[in-house]
Amino acid sequence: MNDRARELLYRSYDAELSASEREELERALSDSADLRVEMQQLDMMRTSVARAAAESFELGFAERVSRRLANESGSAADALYGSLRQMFRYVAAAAVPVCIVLVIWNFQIDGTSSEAQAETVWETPVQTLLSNGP
Amino acid sequence: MQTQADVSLATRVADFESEWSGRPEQELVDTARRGDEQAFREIVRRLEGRVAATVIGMLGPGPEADDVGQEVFVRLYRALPKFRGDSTLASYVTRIAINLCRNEWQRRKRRSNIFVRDESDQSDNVPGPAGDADSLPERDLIRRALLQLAAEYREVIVLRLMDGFSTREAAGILDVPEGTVTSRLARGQMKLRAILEPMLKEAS
Repeated sequence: MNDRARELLYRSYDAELSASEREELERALSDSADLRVEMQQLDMMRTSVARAAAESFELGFAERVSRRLANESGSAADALYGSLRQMFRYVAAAAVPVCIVLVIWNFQIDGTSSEAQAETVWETPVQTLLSNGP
Repeated sequence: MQTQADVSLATRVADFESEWSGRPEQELVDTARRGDEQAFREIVRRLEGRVAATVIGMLGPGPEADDVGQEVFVRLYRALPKFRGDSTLASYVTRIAINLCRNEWQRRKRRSNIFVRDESDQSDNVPGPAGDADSLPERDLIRRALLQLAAEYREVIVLRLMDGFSTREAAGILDVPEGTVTSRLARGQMKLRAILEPMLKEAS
């Protein structure tokens, strides 16, 4: 039995053979008893494999899936809450120096205006005095 | 003796099944996407057999297969918003199952590399002579023989012979050319036949 004939035999179950390949296989089958035995065994094997396919998981599978999904959504909610808390901490930590800077800036602005006002308040009477003379 | 509560529960289960069992697949998917638990339960009910055939065919029976099976449906639930209907739901969920089985197989290989196997442990060997084969049901022999194949051969045999996908569908699920599936099927079946020869000779 040659390898080519075996290959054609196995391929014939799952793919379309060309006309010449089909002829070649039929000739090989009629010439070789071993190939015919192998074909019978292949038929039996394929049937047995198909029969061995599981039809379901253990009883209660759908309930186990539902519970797993429910546990996962609970975990997902906890994880989200944790992430939000963590984000808030970062925002709060970043906000503190910003607030400090704003306070200082605001103080500087207010301070500068007060000095300017004070200068104006003092300058005017002095200027008036100087301009009017004794 | 059935109590009134048993009868009531059975009636409710039957009502649920009759309400959802006739719905078209796309309607179920659309409803499940909106968070409807009943619709997703019906999807699980319809696809459990197909997923079991794939996962147990790839990994053998047991709690690990059950765990992987559950994870398949959890992943499907998360992926429903992205499911566009380009393939059937069966193909889509089978692709998820194959990927998770590959991960589980890799995990088993890593675990078996860590622990030195006991020389007397013959549990992964398929019985050789026909006398040993008599002691196991045919289904168990087939499943154990499949586990002896390389993953690439096992996948195509499970998809084609156990799941009943066509060669073209199997190629789509595995994302390989059809020719690749055909040649893997041929080689895989040759190897499988060699492993099962004692059983096949006895049967014939």
